Amino acid sequence: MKLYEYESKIIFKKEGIPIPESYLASTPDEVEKIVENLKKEVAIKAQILATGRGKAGGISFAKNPKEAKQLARKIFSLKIKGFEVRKVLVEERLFPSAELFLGITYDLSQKTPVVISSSLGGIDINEIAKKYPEKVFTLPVNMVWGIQNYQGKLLAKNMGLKSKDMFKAAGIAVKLFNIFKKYDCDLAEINPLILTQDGKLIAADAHLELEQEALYRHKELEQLEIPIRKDSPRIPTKFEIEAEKIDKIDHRGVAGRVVEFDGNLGLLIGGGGASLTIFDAIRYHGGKPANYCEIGGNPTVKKVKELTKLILKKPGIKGLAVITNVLNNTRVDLVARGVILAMNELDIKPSEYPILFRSAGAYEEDGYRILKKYKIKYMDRSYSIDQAAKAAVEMISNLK
Amino acid sequence: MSILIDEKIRVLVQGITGREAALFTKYMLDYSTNVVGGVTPGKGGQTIHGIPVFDCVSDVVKEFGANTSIISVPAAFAKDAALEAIDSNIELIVIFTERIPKKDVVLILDFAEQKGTKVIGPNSLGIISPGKSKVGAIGGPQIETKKSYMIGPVGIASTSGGMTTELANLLTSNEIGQSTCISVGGDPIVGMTFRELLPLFEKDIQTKTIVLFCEPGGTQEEDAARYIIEYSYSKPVIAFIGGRFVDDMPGMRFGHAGVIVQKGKGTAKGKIEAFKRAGILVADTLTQLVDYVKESLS
Amino acid sequence: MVKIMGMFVKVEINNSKCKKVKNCKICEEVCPVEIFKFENLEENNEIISVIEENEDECIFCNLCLEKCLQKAITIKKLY
Repeated sequence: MKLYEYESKIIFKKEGIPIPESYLASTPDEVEKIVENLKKEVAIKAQILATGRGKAGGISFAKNPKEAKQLARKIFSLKIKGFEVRKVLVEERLFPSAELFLGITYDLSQKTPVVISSSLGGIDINEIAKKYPEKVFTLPVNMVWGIQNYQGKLLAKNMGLKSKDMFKAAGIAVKLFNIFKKYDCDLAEINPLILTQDGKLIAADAHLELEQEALYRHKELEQLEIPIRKDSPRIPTKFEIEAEKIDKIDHRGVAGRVVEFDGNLGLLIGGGGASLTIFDAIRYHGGKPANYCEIGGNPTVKKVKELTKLILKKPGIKGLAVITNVLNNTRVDLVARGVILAMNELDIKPSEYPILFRSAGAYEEDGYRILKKYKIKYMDRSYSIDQAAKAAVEMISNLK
Repeated sequence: MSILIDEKIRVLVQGITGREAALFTKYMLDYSTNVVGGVTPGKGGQTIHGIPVFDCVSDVVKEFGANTSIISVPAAFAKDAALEAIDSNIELIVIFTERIPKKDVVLILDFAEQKGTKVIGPNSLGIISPGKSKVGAIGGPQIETKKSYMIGPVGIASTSGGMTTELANLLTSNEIGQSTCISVGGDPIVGMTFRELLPLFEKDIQTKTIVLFCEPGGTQEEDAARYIIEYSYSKPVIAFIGGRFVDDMPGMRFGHAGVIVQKGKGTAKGKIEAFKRAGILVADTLTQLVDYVKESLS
Repeated sequence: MVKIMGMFVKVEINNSKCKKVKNCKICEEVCPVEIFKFENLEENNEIISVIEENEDECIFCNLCLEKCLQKAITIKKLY
């Protein structure tokens, strides 16, 4: 779960990482009032869950309340990477003598947290790593031990800091790791960490991403007024929202993780790696999927039925491919029952509708008996996913 | 020969009284896996399919010499279960549970490394050495397992449990058997990865060819490719990458928790290139995969 | 043509057998897909009925058949 900057800063403040004096506002008028009280030059920063707001005009500096209100109005009217700006953070403006970088994430290859520091902050660290790899210092850290002071010192030294500043930055690194561990973060980043002209080290920006799987054990977020939610890299379509509702009918199995595409072949496909393989195979043979979806973990007949109905009703659908891997857990007969019930409820005759069924594994004999009875042609385990995908694509292109 | 498991292992099921674990325990017994005991804290004294249930792992180790554990407990208890198994000197742990927080996984792997314990998973469907034994839910019911898997020369390692059985079935229907098939787990961080399994396959006399099923996200494939170059790996490795379309949709997750392309990292394209540099054949379709495997065996 | 569920599985309860045991409910308790519904209408008038909408959810686990004290349940596959 990605946190907004202001939410990350709530945690920073609680855990003792210095942040600028900052206030949250939802209207230009509120911004004006805050600046009147603050009596300082300010930075106004759009609060969105995407990076690159600076380039998109989401950060402005104002000298007085009137200017602040004007600039805020502009920021509130922006749409950055599809996100509307609903809130801005108004902060005392910092005057940096250096902008630095400090971040923690997982190194999937070494299976351990890794801390990254750099003397070049304020821009995307991936760009820095590409252009000036020698300026990016990485340090794997043991989860049990955390960052020790000597490691903090090493990180700070590689930000180009000396004497007092070095010790301060080391302290911040230790605290940032504590946050990373305590809150089950996927990512904890300060970019930029600013060394001000009057010698303070302050986290100008804050970016935390909490691991979805661990949110259940973070009840403290509620007290910090950080609502738990799901990230969506793009706004879900109506079709996708409907599918998600279907998946929530009950807790058994998955039938409803769906992504909409604009093709003509409806897909009901096996979950996990199989869904990836099947979707690829359909595209490889020139098919145009109307959706990606996953069924797995032995879902109930009802879920399969509702999902099938949703797909069959989608405008532009010309046929349906039900393709799964050789199933370990999900039952072939339950999938078959769901698909046929859906067609029945929609008054579609299974024997006359373009449908391709390829499945095998648990309870395949029962499944095949059902399919036979309703005159649906099926492929068993002697046909590969590849052959099934090809046949499904041909089925659509042969339609008149 | 086979790797990781054979007919002699003594298996312990942690969380044996759970619905799924009880079911696959039966399937394991049907496949004549030597299941010696189960653990569910608080339920010691019961039996499941004739297998005695204990409160602690150490009881099963003391009494029956269990050396392999399959863990199927709720995600919130998985860390404790795994640490208990490692502390009780279990040699191989297969973690079936999915959605375990990364922090817990890192802590488990850290302790396992200290004690020299092998860990497969989390989010692994299991391991099967056809004709010898299986650990976990891999293959499903006995009758289906026997249809999908047969004894032979191909080792399979896969990030997807479902595709492990699919690939084995594909080979079996072409009359090519398997030595050991491993579902390494679909999570971003797992215990033994391709890179760690390759040396075991290399030492195994039965295994002649290795098939890898890969997905976008993570670094397993790149790590394996580097290992193959560095150590001049001696056996043919053939890869199949599912989810090439994910490259076009950065930031979105498909299939498994680990399948995500972010900031141009973990792309299928990058993995294919890394494999090709290492001289690994990458099949574009499953039909092609079978051809490559046949060629490598002839 | 539109029939909600019950295309594949027919679950039947022999009421006269069932009624011999009071307040049993065991089938309702063991069924993983909620096919049975127990209703205590008034004293001495309790009924177990089949929720038709859920009939096709039957996974043939046979738990109800095993546990029913009166052997009052039959399950037919309609395929």
